[in-house]
Amino acid sequence: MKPKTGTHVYTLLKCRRAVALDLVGDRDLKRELLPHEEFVLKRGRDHEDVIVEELGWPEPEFERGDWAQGAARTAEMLREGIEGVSQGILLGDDRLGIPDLLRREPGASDLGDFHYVVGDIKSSAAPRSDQILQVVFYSGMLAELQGREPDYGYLVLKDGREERFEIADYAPAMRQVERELDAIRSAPDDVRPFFGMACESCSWSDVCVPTLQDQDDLSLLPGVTPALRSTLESADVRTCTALASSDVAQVASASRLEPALVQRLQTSARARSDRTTLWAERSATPREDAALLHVLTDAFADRVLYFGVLHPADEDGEIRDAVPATRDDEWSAFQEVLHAVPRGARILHYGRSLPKWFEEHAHGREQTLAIESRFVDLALLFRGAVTLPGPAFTMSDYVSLVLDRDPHRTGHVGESAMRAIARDDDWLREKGRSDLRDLAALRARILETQATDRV
Amino acid sequence: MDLSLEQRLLRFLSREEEDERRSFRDLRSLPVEHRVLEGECVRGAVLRNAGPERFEFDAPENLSKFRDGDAVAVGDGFDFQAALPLVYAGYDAERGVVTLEKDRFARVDLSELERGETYCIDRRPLGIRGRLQDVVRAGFADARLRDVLEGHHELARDDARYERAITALEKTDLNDAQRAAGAAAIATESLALVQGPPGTGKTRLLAELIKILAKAGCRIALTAYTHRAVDNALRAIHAADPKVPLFKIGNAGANAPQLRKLGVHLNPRAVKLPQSGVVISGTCFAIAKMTAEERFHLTVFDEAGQMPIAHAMAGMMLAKRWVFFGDHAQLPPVITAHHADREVTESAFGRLHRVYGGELLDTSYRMNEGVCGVVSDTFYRGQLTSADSAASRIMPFDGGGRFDEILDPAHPVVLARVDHRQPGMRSPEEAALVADLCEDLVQRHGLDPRDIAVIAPFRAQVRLIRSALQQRTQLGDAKGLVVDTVERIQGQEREVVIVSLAVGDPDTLDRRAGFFFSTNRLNVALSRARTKAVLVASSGAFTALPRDAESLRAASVYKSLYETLPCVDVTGAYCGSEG
Repeated sequence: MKPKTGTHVYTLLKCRRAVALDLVGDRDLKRELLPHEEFVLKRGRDHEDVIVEELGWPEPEFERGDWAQGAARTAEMLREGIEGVSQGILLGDDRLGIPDLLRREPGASDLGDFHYVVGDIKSSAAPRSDQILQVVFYSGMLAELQGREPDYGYLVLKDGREERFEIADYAPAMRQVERELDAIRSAPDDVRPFFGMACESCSWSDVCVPTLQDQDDLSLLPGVTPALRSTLESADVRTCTALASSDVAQVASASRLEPALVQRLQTSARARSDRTTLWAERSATPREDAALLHVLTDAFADRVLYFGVLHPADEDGEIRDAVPATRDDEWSAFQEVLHAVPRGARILHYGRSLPKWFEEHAHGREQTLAIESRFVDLALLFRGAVTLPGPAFTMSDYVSLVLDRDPHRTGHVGESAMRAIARDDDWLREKGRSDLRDLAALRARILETQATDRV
Repeated sequence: MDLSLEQRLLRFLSREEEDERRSFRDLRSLPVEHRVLEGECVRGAVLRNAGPERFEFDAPENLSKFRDGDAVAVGDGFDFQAALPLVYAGYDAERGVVTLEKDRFARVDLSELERGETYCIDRRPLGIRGRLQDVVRAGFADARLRDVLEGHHELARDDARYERAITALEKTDLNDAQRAAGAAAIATESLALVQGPPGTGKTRLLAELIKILAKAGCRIALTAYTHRAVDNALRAIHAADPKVPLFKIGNAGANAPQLRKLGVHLNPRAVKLPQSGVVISGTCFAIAKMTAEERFHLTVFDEAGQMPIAHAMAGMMLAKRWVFFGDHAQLPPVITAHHADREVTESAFGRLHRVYGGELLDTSYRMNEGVCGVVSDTFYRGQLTSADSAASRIMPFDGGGRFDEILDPAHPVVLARVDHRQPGMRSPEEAALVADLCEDLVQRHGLDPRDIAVIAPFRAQVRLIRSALQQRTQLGDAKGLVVDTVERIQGQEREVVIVSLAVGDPDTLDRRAGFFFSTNRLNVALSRARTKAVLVASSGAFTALPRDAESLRAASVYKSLYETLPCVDVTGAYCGSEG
């Protein structure tokens, strides 16, 4: 049986099935990484290399794959009391850990009048649970080696900032994670696949998703969680088709779920069974002057790479866009495209990227609240207005399900950062414009369709 | 971009106001059935009785989160401009009747509402803030106040005054920690903070302090975020010394008749406020409207752990000395918008305590040893102890009943486990258990219903429990048995507290993690109990692994309680074969 690793801890928070497949799955069935996914990985490794190089801490030398030798060498280095170790190996009975950094701190341990703490290098702007738990996992192994708990754990984030936390604060969560990993290891084949947001970027998706589709699995319905699936199954509703034709009152009574919730799920099941989109009963949305504002971003660099405005917000509206070359150019690029929007017109956008950027960059400048108050998030409006034949986690899902268009026809949104670094402004413009037209079409189709295919 | 604290606070206020407008716009764009599921709408409400002031609607399926006093709009659920403004005045779950009242501030013709017609009842906005932005600007123009808020101030105290304060406080029956905190507050030349964990006599100390200061001729401003907190403090001061002249400015709040009986001068617009030996109180919103000419010897803030920094500035502008009473481990300020800048969402107490520290009141007169031990270890790093007078108290208990294992006083804090997997904000399984426990406490163990409080995180669960209690005929008239969210019960205490967590699906908890996994709320809920706290929950509530790091840290506190509290599993009785 393979040991538990930090990667398993990290993956568990996204998908239990992925952990099981990492442990026992046929690696040949994993899909190849796409170029932009390779790019993200490489960027993370480069970021790590820069920080490690600055520190200048040695790595343990050992035969590739000989973890026992690596662990022994790491232990020797720690006993010597050197300032720090990079990519050390920690080995337990059923655990293997390769923390990015082990740093010496004052405070006696079995190693001497000092001890070590664990650090990991991450490319995110703020610490996440999975990253913290990874460090807590390594810290537990380190505690066994040095005979004391490390004083704290830390993450080095993308801007080089060090974020410290107390290991004890997360110990109960870590114990749960270990229990879950043990359960998965003891019966990996019992872990059922579940369709979720993580599937799109998971390299095991070709193994799970077709199975779920074949089984007409309830996880293919929006809003269904693993526990909700089990509850429905215990009420003898095992497929989307079965739910579509079931008696809501009966299912609600057998499952003890709210009838209103069962009704909503049944509506989704019907949309899926009929491969159609259903519009909820709503009043006519008055046609108003509005523009669409779209951004392409690079989360790692904390940058907006493209601003585009479509006005009026129809597919044949006029586009004005800008590709800011640096962070300092972003505000002027934003203002430039905003000139195309008449004063007072609503500014439609999709998701949190635009307001997040705006909040961080706009304050202190004049009239910014007047602009922000005109923002309308289409993601929220779409969610309430329509029942789709499948889950929609991103704008791309809406484009596929509602418009039946390939959302990646001009390239994957994940490529944006890669293209920006390559100075491929044409690609950014083409992608941004195509997204704007898609959003306009979605708006027309979802928000302005009246009286047809109603729930 | 580096912004000053002033700019960040102004942005905070703007974003809060804008968010309120936006959330209503977003809510109204949702179809009726979604609004119903969100608890923001009652559909199919049929007008049964229409009086000039009160309106009753038949609404057997009321899933709403509305509570008494909420502003609502009544109409067809589509055309909000034509909807009529009313005020929510309660729901009788047994009869399935929603009562609405006329909004005395709205001038509309309510005769349009027709008996027998079906309506949708939706929430409507009230509009907030405004003047606070001016307060923030004016506050930062004052160099001393700016230094204090930015953390550059050096605390100073008058030693002679400190000695006099110690002498005065020795004549009281306050404990050592209270005296030390009181003397520090009286002697400060700028700022003093008193952290008062549950039941540690924070309000009592506040009253004694104000009594001494008023007697010494001080003109004292007293403020808090809510009317409830202001009124509580006024009552305590009156109890300490009925001769202290008390004034309350602005809206009098719901307790006006009671305050009047105590001799509090309410909304004294026409009266010139006295210049010495007096307490002039008001919520921070009312205080913000005072003229700049009004000056005080010091401002006392109560429940400052719930007061945002910007709101506290209104009170700080009135004086040069400030005493903050609060506890940042209890309820935080109510913040509605998403703020990337987390620091400005902190409470005034939390921020100032982080920079300047404060005095801790370390003895709880409320909780017995068992309850206090759990609260202290979980939320106060073991610094809190139970007073001798409270330590050995136990709840009345007459063994031989169905719930002995749960209610046994030998386990002052206990987990009653019902392993449902409800994904929403309501659990009928937990509601049934809570109602049975209440019935047992009253019938078998002889507790007065007024000695019991039931707390749930969501209003939907509160209503479900109230409905379950109404169906227990054995409970008779359970008046006084409080069932509410934790926000409504801060400051109160009961012999027994039952906390229902409601959610059983760990995956839906990830979405609500920021709200649900609040150690502050859990602290307030458990620490209302004098002798017994029962946590009613599904194991699913403890197995979520939220993605947000702060929520995971809070979830770990819940997991730790799950691992350590004595647990009684009653799943079989309440979830049947589905459990």
